[in-house]
Amino acid sequence: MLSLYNILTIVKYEVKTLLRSWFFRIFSGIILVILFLYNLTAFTETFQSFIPRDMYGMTSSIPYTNILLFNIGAAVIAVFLASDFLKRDKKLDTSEVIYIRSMTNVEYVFGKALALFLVFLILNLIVILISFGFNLFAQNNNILPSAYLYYFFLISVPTIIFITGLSFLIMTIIKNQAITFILLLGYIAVTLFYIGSKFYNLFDYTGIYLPFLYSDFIGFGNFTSLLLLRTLYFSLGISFIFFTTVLFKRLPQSPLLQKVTIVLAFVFLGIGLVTGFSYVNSFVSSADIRVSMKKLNNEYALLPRLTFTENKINLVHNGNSISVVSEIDAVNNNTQSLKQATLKLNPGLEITKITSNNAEIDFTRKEHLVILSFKNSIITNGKINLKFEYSGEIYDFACYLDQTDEMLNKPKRIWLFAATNQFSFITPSFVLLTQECMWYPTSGISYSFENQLSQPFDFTKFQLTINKENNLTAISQGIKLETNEANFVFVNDNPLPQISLTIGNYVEKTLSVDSVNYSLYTLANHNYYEEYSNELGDTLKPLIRELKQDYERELNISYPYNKLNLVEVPIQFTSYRRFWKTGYEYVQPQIVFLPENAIQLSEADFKLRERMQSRFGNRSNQVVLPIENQSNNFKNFVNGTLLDKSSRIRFRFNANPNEIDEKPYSIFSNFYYFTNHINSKKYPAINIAIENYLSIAEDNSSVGFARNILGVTPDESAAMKLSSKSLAEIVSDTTFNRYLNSIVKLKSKYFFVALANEIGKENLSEIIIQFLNESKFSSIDMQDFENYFRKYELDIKNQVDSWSNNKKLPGFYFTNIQNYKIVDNERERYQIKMNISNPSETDGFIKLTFNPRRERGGGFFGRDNSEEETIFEEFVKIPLGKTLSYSTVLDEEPGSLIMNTFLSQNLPLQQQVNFQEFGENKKAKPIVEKVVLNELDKFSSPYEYIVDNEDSGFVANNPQQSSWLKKFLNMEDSDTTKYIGVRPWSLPEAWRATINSDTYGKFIHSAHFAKSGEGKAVVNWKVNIEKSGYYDIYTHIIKPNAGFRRRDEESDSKKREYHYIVSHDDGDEEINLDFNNSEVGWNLLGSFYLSAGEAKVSLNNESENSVVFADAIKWVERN
Amino acid sequence: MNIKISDLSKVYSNGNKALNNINLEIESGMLGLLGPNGAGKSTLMRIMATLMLPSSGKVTVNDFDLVKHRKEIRTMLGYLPQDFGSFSKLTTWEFLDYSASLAGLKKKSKRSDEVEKMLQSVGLFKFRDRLANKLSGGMKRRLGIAQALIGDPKIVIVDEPTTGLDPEERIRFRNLLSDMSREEIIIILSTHIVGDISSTCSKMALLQNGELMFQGTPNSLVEKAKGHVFRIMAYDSDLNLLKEKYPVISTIPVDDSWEVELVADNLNGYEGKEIAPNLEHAYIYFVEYLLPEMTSERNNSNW
Repeated sequence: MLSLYNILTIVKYEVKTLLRSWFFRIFSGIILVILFLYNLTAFTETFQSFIPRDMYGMTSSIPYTNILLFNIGAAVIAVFLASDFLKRDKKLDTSEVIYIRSMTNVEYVFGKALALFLVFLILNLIVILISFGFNLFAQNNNILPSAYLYYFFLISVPTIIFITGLSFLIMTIIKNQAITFILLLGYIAVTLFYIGSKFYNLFDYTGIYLPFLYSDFIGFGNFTSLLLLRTLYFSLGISFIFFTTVLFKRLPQSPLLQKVTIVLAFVFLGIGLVTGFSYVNSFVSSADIRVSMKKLNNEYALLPRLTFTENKINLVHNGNSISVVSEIDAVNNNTQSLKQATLKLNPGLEITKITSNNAEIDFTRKEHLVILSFKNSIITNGKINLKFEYSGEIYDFACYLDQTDEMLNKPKRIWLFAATNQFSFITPSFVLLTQECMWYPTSGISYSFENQLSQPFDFTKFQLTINKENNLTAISQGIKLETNEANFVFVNDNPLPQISLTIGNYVEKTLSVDSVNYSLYTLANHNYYEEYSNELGDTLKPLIRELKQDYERELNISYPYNKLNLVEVPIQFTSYRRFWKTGYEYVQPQIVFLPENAIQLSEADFKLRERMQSRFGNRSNQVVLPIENQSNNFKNFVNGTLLDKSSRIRFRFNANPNEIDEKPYSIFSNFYYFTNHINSKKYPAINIAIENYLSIAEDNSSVGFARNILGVTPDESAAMKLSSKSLAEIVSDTTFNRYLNSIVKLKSKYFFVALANEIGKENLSEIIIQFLNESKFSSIDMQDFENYFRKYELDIKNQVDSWSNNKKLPGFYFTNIQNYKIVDNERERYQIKMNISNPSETDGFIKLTFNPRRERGGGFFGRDNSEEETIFEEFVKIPLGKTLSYSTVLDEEPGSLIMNTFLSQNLPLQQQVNFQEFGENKKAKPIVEKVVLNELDKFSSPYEYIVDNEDSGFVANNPQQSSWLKKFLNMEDSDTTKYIGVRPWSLPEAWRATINSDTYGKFIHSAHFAKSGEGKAVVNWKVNIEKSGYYDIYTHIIKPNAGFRRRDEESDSKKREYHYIVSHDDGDEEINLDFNNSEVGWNLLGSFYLSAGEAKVSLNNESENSVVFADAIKWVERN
Repeated sequence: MNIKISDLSKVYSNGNKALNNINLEIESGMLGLLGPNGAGKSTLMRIMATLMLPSSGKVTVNDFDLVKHRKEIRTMLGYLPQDFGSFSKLTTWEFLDYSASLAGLKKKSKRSDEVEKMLQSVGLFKFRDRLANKLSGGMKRRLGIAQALIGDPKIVIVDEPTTGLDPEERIRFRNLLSDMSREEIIIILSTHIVGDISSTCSKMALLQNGELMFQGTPNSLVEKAKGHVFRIMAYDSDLNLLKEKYPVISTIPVDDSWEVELVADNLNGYEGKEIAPNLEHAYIYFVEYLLPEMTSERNNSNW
């Protein structure tokens, strides 16, 4: 049998050998120094005001960061050491003095593996000691000793065992250290950087993508899943070590032991495969059930349903499960009698009984759906009471059927950390249930493809009774009554669309301002914010009052409840943007669920913000008093997190387009979605359209930043989708879901801008406010909504119908733009004239905004137009097939004109004209008029040919540039959209199109561009010339406002040229255009004689500029 | 102690027949295994050291089958391979301690005594804290023999131990082996240096092309060469002729001529003095005269 003594002997001397290896000493030294410095930066008071709170805010941050970073380094070092181990064995004559000793191969190989493990264990302990030391002295971090153990056993141990086993095995098979290195380092690189978190994180053996973030509320949340995956790697590692033993080049001690070793190798391989399978299967089977749930929803989507008017819920929390009795009053609001009714309840909750007036009701359970069969039909307006008794747990996979499985399974990334996505919690010490997890019965189905923009919606009067538990506080909607019995009772005066329940070990802080109770619930030791609000004292009340009043004034709606709870919830709690509302499930009626320790809430990073405020104060030689600092921080937090106002754009690379610039914790839903509702089967989008209209969230569609990154703004992306499909068609086609929110938002904006144009902005606002006030806490039909517009003789039904079903978009072009200075009554004034033509098949309107002249905005990020004071703005309507001759006079000199087309065929949707100098025209009289001309203005002259990059005469020849490795790893540029941003740090080598106001175009102002190179990437403009003769040939030049522009223009005096080749009758001629001395717009390349037939101009990407733009070429016949 | 090798053959995967039907019985004492490079000595050593499986045949050690009872046989083994390099990151003491531990010396104090004794006996005690790879070639070889001997092995296999050593180290090494051979153990010394055997071994075997051509005492081999070793005085003009005709063992210049020692069945007209053969003479005589005859006879009998 195995001799422990032999194993320990080998371990002892191999450890000595390893510890004396310089390679090991250097690498481990580097890792320890890096970790020490990282700890010093991230976890000490001194530096924390310079770094985001996400890096250190969680209690588990210190052990998690340290063990995770160490683990990645260790995984690489282990490869070198493990393969070096066996390389030494290749010097057989030396190793043979050991091989002839009486020991088994298992003892020898496991001794070596254990030695390696022990060395990493020693290093790990040093890392743990360092991090524990920092943990002890870091003032803002509580100590979580168990996390050190969890992370060690779940992150470090499986990784080291796996990579050791794999290295041993590959080295044993290949017997070449260099190739083994390459293979293993390649494997690490591929798993870390390419596969990443794909395939449910299955290939993440280092654990870097695994959701290991530990919550003080609930721990990991997905412990079983993590354990399965880590067991997979641990078992595979052990299996590989056994296989190494089998393949080891030493005669085994005994043939029997060799057989046992083979069996053990397969046993551990089997354990690994079984755990791996169980891990994957948990995702796959959930996905299968979700598919089945969606099918059921579609199947039952169009069936009439009961309206639940009242629901009395009695819930008992039993550790990891709940038992509930729900007594519901329902009414049949349909025009037909109901023999059956469909409702939904989480499939993890088992119904024991459904009764009505003590008589049992037959029901069928299909996943989450409960189909009730009544003995007697419920007539129209007939009422019924239903009593449900059920118990069990919540299956999270039943939530968010509108989201893709990929989205749900992708862990939440927070700095280096990852947390699992959870939608509900039932643990002995914490409960969080929202309507999304279907913890109480609601009428109808959950998300259905059939009706993406309007989900079943009842305003129900809820009463919730919960058993009291030691030290645990329950939070829900309504007034909390603590009865004499062992219960909390929550009573609601008004019907609500949904309620939530939170039970936890909370500390409550309440403040009452103007009859609204504001409560903050956090875990006892999660009080970092106190240090940054201790000066506020009595100023807090007026601050809250002011913020509330400002917000209500801007919305023109009052906060409808008498309480607002901010509740800290586990970091794992996740919600997503929905199609049918602007809010997330983080926001419930009267409640906002904020992430644990305010992680990812940049406005709640008070330490960082306090330092920044002081720094700004110092810069302007102002002393910022602590109270000013704290009240500013408080206002920023409320405005940026809880309200729709934010001073910055929320933007993430590779973010879901549906979630760009959303405000997940905004309480806005309390002002509309939870209080009003328009129910329309035919026009389901109307409800979300009103919500979008009411939202004061910033319009970021014009921001240059978004275009530079994405190529098109979310609005433009939506407009492109709407160019061939109506809203109704898009909603019914799930392939558009990725863009649905942007599309609905844009359409909503357009709809209400059109309505405002029709009846006036003030009148529209008045109608909406009236509707909101009169139908509060109830759902009204479309017809009732239409009635509000009757007094303006507006048939909104037609408008909505056209809005929903119209596929046509207007398109505009702008000609004959003139600007000059005039003298009017001895005052200098500024005349602007232009023609706006709409050759499309539908009427359109434009908002014209004149902005003052300013210094050229530099930099890549450009400026946000919305922040600018405007000189003048107005809407103009341009009927289809007409040209509007527009003239206006301004008192201040405008620098630019923004022409916002809202939703049109134009790209960009907002065209910008930068005015050059205003020349004087003393004789001219001021003209302010808008004349509709029946004739469309000519876009181009009959004596010229123009080929734009959007035309068929434009051809871009791109060189083959893909590397085989990129192809193999499928790492080619995945941005397959037609237009991309001009990003100075990643310019394409092939020609790609980009949108820019300065470029030439009728509707679409775009140009192609490529990174400058050797001139192999070529574009050609070709046109058929009808008449031989001399032609002036022009090129359209743009100079985008991007980061490289200044560098290209000003860094040195070097001539920067574009190299054109003009084909004419005397052959091909190279024309070099000096970019620095060219103007934005048309630039003459020269005059050439061209015979009738094909004319061609080429441009290659050879240039001293970083980037070459190819826009349009114009051939103008000379007289 | 007794090792019995019966019909032992080894054919490598490339078809090379390294050992062919070896039959040999080894008793306690030191056996010198002599043969030119490529004769199969190391293959035989490695098979006996349980590092390699034979293709056919059998080796038993005190009735333990070498293939079936590796565990038991390995407890009796000490082995010094041809190119012993030692473990670079361990000191001399640590390396011996490691070997001693694996050789079964579990008790620390006993192991420590044994390591010290062994280091003393090979003259490395004062280098006990030096990293093994910092030792000279001779020292390394001594360390090698020390690790082979530690733990009181019953069979010590030493493969080409003196190759590359300077004369002083070689003599020291031979003395070491001789001292060991007084104990009741089997020492198998593989070498192609005849002097190693003549100065240490009581028995010897001669391998040639994978076959065992001789086994017996060194004296019995010397006996065979009696009357076949001559000393001749020759001038320059004859020297080359003699070299062409006979295996010349040594040529020493004396005045204007050469004193030549050679082996021959007869001198065929040359005048020379018969001298007493040593093992080196005997080995040359055996390889040059007897071996071809034996091979020819075997071929004829096969025919």
